[in-house]
Amino acid sequence: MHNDQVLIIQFQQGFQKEAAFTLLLKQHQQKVYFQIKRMVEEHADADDIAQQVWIKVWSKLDGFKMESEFSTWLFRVAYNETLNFLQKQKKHASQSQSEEHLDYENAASGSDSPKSSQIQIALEQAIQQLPEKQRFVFMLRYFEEMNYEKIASITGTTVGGAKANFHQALKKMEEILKKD
Amino acid sequence: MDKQKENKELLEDKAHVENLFSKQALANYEANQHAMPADYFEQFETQILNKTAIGNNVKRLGFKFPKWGQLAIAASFFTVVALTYIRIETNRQKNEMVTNITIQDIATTEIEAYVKDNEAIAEIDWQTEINKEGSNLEALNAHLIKDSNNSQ
Repeated sequence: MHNDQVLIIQFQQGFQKEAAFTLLLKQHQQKVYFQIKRMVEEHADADDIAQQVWIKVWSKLDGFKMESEFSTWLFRVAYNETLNFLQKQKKHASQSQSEEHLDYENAASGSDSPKSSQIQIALEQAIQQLPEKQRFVFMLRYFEEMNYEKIASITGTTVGGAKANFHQALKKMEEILKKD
Repeated sequence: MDKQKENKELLEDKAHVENLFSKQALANYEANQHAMPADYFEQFETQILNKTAIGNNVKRLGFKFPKWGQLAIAASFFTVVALTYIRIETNRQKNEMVTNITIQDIATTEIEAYVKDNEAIAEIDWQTEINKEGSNLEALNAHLIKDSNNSQ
């Protein structure tokens, strides 16, 4: 495991720039991809967003001042790119939403799918219905096990705000479960 | 917040989620997120490096031009500015010379030449010329009156 700071300094000094970037990419690409995938569900969409994120990292890394951890900054770029994507997608969603939902339910109820149980379907539906920011915070907290300070930096909120987002997400999912 | 308290809080949050859904359902959900084409990350890495390399080459080409191009543009700009300044300054100095000139500064020969060139204009008897034009107009007027009386 290479130290992020050392790699960033190498990159910024133009010393083996591509090698330093490749190591940063290798070390962080999976976490970034999975976080994006949890938000957008489709692999192709996650792939597009992840590419945009890493191209942005390449072009902006020279200006990174190391005031935060690299991973925090990286997730912040991913957060912004994902939200942009979801907002653009929302504009086109109204007409195709019902079809997608049907496909999604069919896929979820397939006999050989790991999502075969009722609770599995309920979980996925509850996650889908969460507002984007709450969903992002929920994923970072539960699956990435991030502390609230880091989550707050990524989502541009306070620690209290991040905690509130997580608990609101839980409350909302509880309500969705009760409805079903 | 110390690490221990932070960990405790995290475990509590996770337990809350797992009570709501099952741990298994959450694990399955996460497993589904990990479903992707084989060698995806290796390919992804290559794709990104290709794209950044293209970007880098474009950037390099872009920098090659400005290095001498920008210098040439800057040099031309400064030349134009300098020439304009010199021209303006020369004109200003000329004007200053003209406004500051006195009759004593002009050579006698120049004054004499000027008078000689303009002698024809100076020698015209303006009063005679005006009287001549006046009598012409009076004659024309009389002629017009006569014509109008005849027609009546």
